[in-house]
Amino acid sequence: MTMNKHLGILIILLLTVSGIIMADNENVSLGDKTKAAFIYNFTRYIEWTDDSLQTFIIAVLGDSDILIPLKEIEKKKQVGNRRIKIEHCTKIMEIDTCHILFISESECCNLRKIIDTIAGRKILTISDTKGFARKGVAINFVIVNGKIRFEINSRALDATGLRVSSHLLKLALFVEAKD
Amino acid sequence: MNNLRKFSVRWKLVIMQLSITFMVLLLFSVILSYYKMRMYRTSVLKELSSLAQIIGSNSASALTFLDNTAAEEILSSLKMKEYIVNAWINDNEGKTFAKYSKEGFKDFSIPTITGEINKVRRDNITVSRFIMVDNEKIGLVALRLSTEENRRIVNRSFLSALIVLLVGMTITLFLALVSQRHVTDPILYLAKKVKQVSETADCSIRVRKQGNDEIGDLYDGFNNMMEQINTRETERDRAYASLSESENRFKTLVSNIPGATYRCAYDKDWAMEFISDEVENISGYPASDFINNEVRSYASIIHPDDRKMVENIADKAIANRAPYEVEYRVVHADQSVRWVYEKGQGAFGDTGNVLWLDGAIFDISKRKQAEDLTELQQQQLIQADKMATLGILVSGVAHEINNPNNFMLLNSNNLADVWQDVKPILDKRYESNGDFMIAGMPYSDMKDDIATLISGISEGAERIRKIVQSLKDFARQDGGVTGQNVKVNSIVESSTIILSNLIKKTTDNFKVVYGENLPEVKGNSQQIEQVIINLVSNACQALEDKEKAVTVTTRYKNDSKEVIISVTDKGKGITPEDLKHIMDPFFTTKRDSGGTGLGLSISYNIVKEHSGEFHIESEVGKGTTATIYLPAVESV
Repeated sequence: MTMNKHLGILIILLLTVSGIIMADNENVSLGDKTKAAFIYNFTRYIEWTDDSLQTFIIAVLGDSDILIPLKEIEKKKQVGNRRIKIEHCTKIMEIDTCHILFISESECCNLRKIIDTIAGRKILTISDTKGFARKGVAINFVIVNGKIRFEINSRALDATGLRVSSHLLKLALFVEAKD
Repeated sequence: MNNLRKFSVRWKLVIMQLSITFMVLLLFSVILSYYKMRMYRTSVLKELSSLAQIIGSNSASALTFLDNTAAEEILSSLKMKEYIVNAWINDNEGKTFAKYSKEGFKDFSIPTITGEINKVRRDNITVSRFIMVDNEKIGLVALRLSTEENRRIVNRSFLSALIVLLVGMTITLFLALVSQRHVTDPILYLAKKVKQVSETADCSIRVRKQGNDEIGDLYDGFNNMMEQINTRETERDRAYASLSESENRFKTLVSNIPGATYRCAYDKDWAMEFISDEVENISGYPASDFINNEVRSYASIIHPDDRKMVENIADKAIANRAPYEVEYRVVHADQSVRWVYEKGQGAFGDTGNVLWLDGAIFDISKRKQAEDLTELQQQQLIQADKMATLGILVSGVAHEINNPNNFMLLNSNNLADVWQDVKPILDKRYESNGDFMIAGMPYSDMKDDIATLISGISEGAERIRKIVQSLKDFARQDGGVTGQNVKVNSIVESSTIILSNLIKKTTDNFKVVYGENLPEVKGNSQQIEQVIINLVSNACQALEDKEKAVTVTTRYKNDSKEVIISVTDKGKGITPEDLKHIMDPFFTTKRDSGGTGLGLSISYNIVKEHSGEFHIESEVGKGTTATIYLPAVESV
């Protein structure tokens, strides 16, 4: 009898955990999925030239729910001929090189330092925190009228040296950098 | 279709040209409009397609980044395109992402389109294209174009095409009218000439050739034909003329033949193929009656009694291939019978069959009459001769009988006297001695008869004497026409005196009408008297009662220079049979009353010797008229 009882509890636990895990997955909001999709789509409108990297690296700095959908994208999609690699790190120093850097909300304090660090490199910074674009992030997701839009800091974007399609720029909300 | 045929050549040509123009223009217009329509459609589709592509590529990012507004903004640029009335962008799920509607088309419902289409409808054309990003469908853009305006334009162009058609037709009409003349005028002219020829039968009509084409050939042909016709006509006229002349000659020749020349079939009717007009004189029917038995067959006028004979003679001649001659009678139209003489022969074919008979028929009635007359005259001559001989004989006999007769007469008178004296003596003997026998018979029976017997003998002798006297009169041939000039009226007067007793006895109505100023007549008054006495006695003896009249008339007829004496009685008349023989010698109806039948015969001879005529007319029950015509002496 005791065996059965343990087994029962174990099952319940497993279910709960998987539930949690699954819930975790379901808890990935539509917004995150969209943002992730947008990030991927950005790659269609932005050209990363002159690099010999085999894979397209999207680095996620900090904790963000966007990781999960990004991981999905990593599995399914490619950027041009290159496969996507999603890297998750907590410190900017951990990043060797990447194409896109997603800066989570949690890094708001280190924002300055982060931007300075990657300045001059062809790295597209993306965030989904209010005010980040003004602070120097190239593209920042915002919600306008219930829809996900993105702000572009044109100076920051120019600084990346990346070629950006006007189609993308057309859709963006432009913000001025705040010094 | 027949109505079309009636159209003039002129109009046919014009109509032809018009129809060609019409067809061509129509075809052209149709092809053009079709082509234009195709072009339009193609261009529209092309434009829409490229437009869709452009919009698609332009809105790809908006679609990617779910920016409806941006997409709609892009679509709204279609405002510039007047004819695009609707546009929409669907995402991959088919949901409308963005749409655009032109003013007035807002309530238009978006059809479900899932793929790329080029749909052409009556009023609009819809085109949809996928929105591709990196060879991946992210959505669909659809554009709808209104073709209403185009249609209006098309209709207008139809109108203008119609106008073009009409103008074209009008121009064609004008040109055709002008140009067809070159073709039709010569044709119509020729047609007119042909009609003229057929109406007026004028073969001298010719046409002048105007061109060298087939119509020119037609003209030449026409002229040639007319020439030929003309020639033939001339020849024909000549032939006709000579035929006519021939016929006339023939007719003249034939008409001079005093007989009816014919050609007939060898059949029972003698069907005439030809018979000359002379047959009309012969038969009283025109020649045309007999031609092919048109009205009557020739056989029908042949006397029924002679038909078989004629047939037989013809058959025999044909059988012997010899000519035939036959005399027979025909019945004239006036029912009189004429004698004809026919001579003819058969014409034979290769196989010996009779083709026809040719011959001539001559009227020989006169000849026959002449023959009959000659025969009659001959008979009369013979008769006269007989009479003459008889006369001589009679004269001789009379003479011989006279003597014994005179003797008998004389003696019988003497015997009568003797008996007159003897009878009283015998009577006395009878009274005294009774009956006695004389010549085996009792006297009582005979006594009265004897006188009768004796008077009988004398009467007989007297009668014989009278007869002998008549016979002598009859036999008197030389007649003693001494050629005196005698007055007829006085002879008549003396005759009536002589006959006064007979006249008184037989009639209460005896009249003499003496003609005035009668010329004298050459002859013997005694003989004429004898004739008149004969006639008047006959007249008196013919009366049946005394009421009936006897009239003697004398008159003179100037134109024939004849003195006419006629004796008319209202007696019992003479039958036609008796009338025929009335003047024959010894013909009498009064033999019982002692007639000798010589009276009229003697009278006839006397009149004849006076170069006169003697006629008797009579009707049974009505009366008789005897008329004597005597030639008057020519007064100097």
